[in-house]
Amino acid sequence: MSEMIALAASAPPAVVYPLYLQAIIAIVKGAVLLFVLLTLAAYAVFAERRILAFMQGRVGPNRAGPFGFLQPLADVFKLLTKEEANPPFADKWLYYAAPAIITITSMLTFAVIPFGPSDWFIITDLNVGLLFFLALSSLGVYSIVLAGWSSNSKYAALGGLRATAQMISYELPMSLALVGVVLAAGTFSLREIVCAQSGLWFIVIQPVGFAVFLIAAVAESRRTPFDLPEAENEIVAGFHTEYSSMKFALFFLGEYVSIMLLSCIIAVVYLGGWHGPWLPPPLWMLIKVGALVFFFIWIRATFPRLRYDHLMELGWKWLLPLAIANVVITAALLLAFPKLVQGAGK
Amino acid sequence: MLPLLIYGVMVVGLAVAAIGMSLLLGWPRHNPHKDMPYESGIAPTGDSRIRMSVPYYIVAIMFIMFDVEILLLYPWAVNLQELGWKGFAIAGIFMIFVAEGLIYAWARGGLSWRHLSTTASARTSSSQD
Repeated sequence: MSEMIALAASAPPAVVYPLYLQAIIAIVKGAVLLFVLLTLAAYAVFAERRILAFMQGRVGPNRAGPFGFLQPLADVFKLLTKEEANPPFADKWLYYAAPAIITITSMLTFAVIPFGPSDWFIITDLNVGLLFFLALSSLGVYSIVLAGWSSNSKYAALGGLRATAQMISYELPMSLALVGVVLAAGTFSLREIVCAQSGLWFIVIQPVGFAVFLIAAVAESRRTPFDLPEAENEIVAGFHTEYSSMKFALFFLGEYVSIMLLSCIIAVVYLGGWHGPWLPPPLWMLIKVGALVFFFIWIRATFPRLRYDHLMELGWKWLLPLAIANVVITAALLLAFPKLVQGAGK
Repeated sequence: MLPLLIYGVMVVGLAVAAIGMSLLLGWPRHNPHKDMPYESGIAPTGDSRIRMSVPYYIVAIMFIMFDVEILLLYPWAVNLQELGWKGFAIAGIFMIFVAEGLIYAWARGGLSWRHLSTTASARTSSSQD
């Protein structure tokens, strides 16, 4: 049903392929997306290590291949062949499921991210794409909480508890900021949201909403200055203390894929997605996402970790009221000047 | 729906394959010291699944409330231009109630760590009397 709506809504007259051809196209698109995602996530880790090293006056990994470009490959093989921790004190099923959950939720959301205007740059244009993102990002919390609980280790339990309170607190300003986007675009479909920004990017209409979403996004990705669930000098490694080998790597992968996912979402809903002069659309999307990923890394090099009660205060006493005010002001602005959003779906 | 389903199966398969492959390549080897939870090198003290006071437990209840309230805003947000200023007024009244809930919780100390921990400890000490 959603497929039909999406097909009807897309601008070029879409050809309806037979079912087996649809399946083959979906498999090809999925395989390409997964390959690109895994490669980019591996190189995001490498980029983070090199950039952090550069910002701290170190060299960083530079031995494997020219400039260390083969470092991600070396990491993958090392992590794959490391001994699998299989602690007898852990709750086995949940212990194994937790790293899988974060990988699945963060990668699955990429199905609705449009990298370009045509059908080839998106897996499926769900008409509730934005809600799909919110739902899956909420489900991602389970991974951290279950990892902390099932490990049956005190550090892991502390990390899991911290993650619970933190992530549910930052979920609210995040979804409230997205209400502002829906107000402006009049649709949940991410592709139509980008189409609605052909004139004016939404960051211009609601800079406050953008700031709130950006801060909440950093908190959702559990990175410095909000990395209390895994604060390494307080609680060892937090929720993944008892994990090793590929299960540990999946947590890492999940973290970097979520950074890219949040960068994609920010680029799509606030920074005009693939819109931009001269260059081809997917390249613009890539440039914006790359700049945002760099921003995430830069933040880590710049800010110290927040104290826990400050972190909760920031979420509830600053971001939430600001997000509510943003919704009211944006709605009034859009009603007063309905011509503000040009290419809106409605 | 079909592409999403296929992509979902691929993603789940990838996660399962990654865990399965590392089980094959780096199979677990047990020894008594490895089979202890990590506690900075000393022998672990007691179980980690103890009851713990979470000073932010009220936040969980408030999260449910506000999340549902925000969800109610989405249908209005999609139809903003059709509903016009009348819809804006109705949603505005609703949002005053949302803000009022936040202010109420704020004023009662539901958002601060210290207040909660002191009331929690006061409650437990009074229940022990």
